[in-house]
Amino acid sequence: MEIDVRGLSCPEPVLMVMDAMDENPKERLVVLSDAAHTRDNIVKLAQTEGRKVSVTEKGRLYEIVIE
Amino acid sequence: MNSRKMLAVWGVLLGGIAALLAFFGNPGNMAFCIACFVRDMAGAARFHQAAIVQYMRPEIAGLVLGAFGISLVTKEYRSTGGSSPMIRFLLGMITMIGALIFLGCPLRMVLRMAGGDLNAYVAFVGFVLGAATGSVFLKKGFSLGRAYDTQKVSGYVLPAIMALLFLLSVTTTIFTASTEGPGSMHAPVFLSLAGGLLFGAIAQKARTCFAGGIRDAILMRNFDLLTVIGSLFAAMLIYNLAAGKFVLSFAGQPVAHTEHIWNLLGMYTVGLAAVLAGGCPLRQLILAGQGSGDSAVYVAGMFVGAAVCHNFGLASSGQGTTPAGRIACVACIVILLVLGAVCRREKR
Repeated sequence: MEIDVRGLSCPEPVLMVMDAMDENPKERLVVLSDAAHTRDNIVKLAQTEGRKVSVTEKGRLYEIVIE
Repeated sequence: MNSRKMLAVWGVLLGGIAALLAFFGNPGNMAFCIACFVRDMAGAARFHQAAIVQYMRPEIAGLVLGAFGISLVTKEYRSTGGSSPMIRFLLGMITMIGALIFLGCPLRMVLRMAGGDLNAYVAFVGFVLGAATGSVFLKKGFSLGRAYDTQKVSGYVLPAIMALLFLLSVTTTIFTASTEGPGSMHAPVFLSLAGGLLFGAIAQKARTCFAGGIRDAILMRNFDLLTVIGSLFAAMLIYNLAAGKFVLSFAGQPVAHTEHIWNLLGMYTVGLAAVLAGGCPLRQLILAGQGSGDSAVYVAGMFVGAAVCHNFGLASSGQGTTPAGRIACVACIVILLVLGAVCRREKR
């Protein structure tokens, strides 16, 4: 599933990703963000939940993949 | 990314800067206060006429420019805007009204707590309740909508205004400066600027946010942001104890009053407004520095809110609150609850 959190204020992006993880615990999530602090928060959330996470910079955006 | 240990170090450094500014002349228990300092700046530019709180505080210019500089270096600068700007303006005004009922922003609340001011502990309860209320709205789907990329120059405007205000304040006499009261107490200009720059850069790196600290603990059981604030508190507490400035009491605290219910409700207002806006007053200045037009509008709201507070007698003083202030505080809470209930997140 893809989640677009661009332009959203804290902590909405994290809440959206949390909801998606709760709904589909095993599903691969691709999160698109434009803010470094949001990127950090989502990576931290994924790690707390014991998920594998990777970040790729795509121009001015961050693509965060949670496996 | 910041480890918990690193966050604690950042917090101690922030506390150290505050202690240094206190040592060199900033007012008692007000070494660094976003609300008070923005209010002093509004007074210096004669947006209000309260003679004892007028001074063009270099710390605020420093904060914005420090965050601006570090975000350019780390490539985190993004010129954005368009996430319900007028609601954010209103939230900025409301934040200022709540802060001036209590007499301090969340940063000053923590500094007052570290100085033994028990009124600030009462206010802290209100702040936590406000942030918790905001967290409930967030959980139920509150949102101010998305921000989008704007012209790159848009994000430069607030940092440029801050730089200009500072330059004018040191090269001309166009701004008023208090000769008595809190506005007359300040560290040397360039030390204040340097302190602000460093504070801004560190706060940007550590993502320091007082409302976020409480909010993350409630919503996500994440204590990272609270780590920064806890260590800032500890550093300031040690300074106050060492300098003999720690006085545990309700009465007789500098620039404070003892009306518990209004200290509580004032900071309840600030906590709720800050969570709805996505960050406390400090965080809004930092975000404005790193290009957020929405946060810059919030800062403008604080500026106007400060003028409203003093022009219409809403601001408290050491003697206590005012009738107009109490009415405004309740009205602000009602507005926040309505906003919290009606602004919903778009469906995924």
